[in-house]
Amino acid sequence: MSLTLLPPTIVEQPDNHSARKFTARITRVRPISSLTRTREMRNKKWRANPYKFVRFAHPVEAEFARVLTYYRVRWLYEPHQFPLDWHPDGTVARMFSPDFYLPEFNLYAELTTQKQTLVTRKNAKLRRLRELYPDINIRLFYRKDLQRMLGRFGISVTSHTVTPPGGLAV
Amino acid sequence: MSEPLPLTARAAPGDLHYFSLAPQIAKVLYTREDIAARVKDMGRQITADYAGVGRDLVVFGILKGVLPFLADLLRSIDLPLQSDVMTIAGYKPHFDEEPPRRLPGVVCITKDLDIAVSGRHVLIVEDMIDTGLTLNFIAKMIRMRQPASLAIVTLFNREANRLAWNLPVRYSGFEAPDDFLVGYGLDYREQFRNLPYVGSLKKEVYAL
Repeated sequence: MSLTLLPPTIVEQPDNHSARKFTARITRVRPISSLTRTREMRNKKWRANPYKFVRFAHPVEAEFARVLTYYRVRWLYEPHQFPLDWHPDGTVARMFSPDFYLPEFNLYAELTTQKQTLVTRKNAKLRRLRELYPDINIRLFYRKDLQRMLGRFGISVTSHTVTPPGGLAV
Repeated sequence: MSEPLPLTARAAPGDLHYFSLAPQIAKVLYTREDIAARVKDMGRQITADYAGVGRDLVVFGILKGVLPFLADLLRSIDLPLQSDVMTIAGYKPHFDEEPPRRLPGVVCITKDLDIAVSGRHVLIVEDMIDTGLTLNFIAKMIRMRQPASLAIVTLFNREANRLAWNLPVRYSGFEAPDDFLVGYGLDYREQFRNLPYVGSLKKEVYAL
């Protein structure tokens, strides 16, 4: 039987309810130009004062970022994560996230304020990172390096280990 | 080269002795003679390299740490040149400033060059390059003035901590050891610049 012969009440109407909702939602979204403007404003605020947005794990990292900003070097805080080890099922077992990335120099910087005797784990991670990603440029600043570098500006470097919630301090 | 500070030695007649600063110096790393010999070598090398550029050589240093080194180096370059100095304001933390998430400000030049560098061969003299952030800023600014060439002379070079790895460091005096160096212009809170030698500062002085 042809569908056109059926009475109009029996003909299955397409469920355009969701389409109507979708249309309604579209109308509520702000125009693209407005979105772009908002994004630009957010970026402008970020550039104006990134310290309002970034939550540094250690005060020394904040000071390091300030020194970089002072010398007009762009920086990103923990922008990338590098998997170092994997479980047999393919999930990542160990990651490394360098503290800073400096796009101008294509360089990662990792800061540690732990004593020299306690940085073995971090050194091992860095060695593994260099094995797996030989093209990555990374500099590790030890406590003594930071003391010397920031000490010239009168900034003290105290050993202060941050333990993230539910995780081990590294 | 790495001999302990002669605390008990007596100063030569008419010579200054710096025993009042000695308690804060761990050891002398480079004596006055070591430095003088190396600076003369660098001067000879620069003279040979820039012999063909005529009067187009501009040598300038970045105050204040470079003063003794700049004075010695200029006198060991046997070429007609123009010299100048530049001063930039270093980073100063303000711990008691509110709000705590403050802005650091930006580096600014407090004394610019008085001579033009456009189309000329420029040599930047620096006492020590560590992270290279200061020199990176200055080199970028000088490049905008379009010199014929740009090179950097440094007395102490510390590659391990370098962030600005693309700096054109052509002449380097000594590879800086892993210590806090003071003397011969290098300071800690504006002190120790007058020492004729370069020594390492005791850790308890700067590790607050």
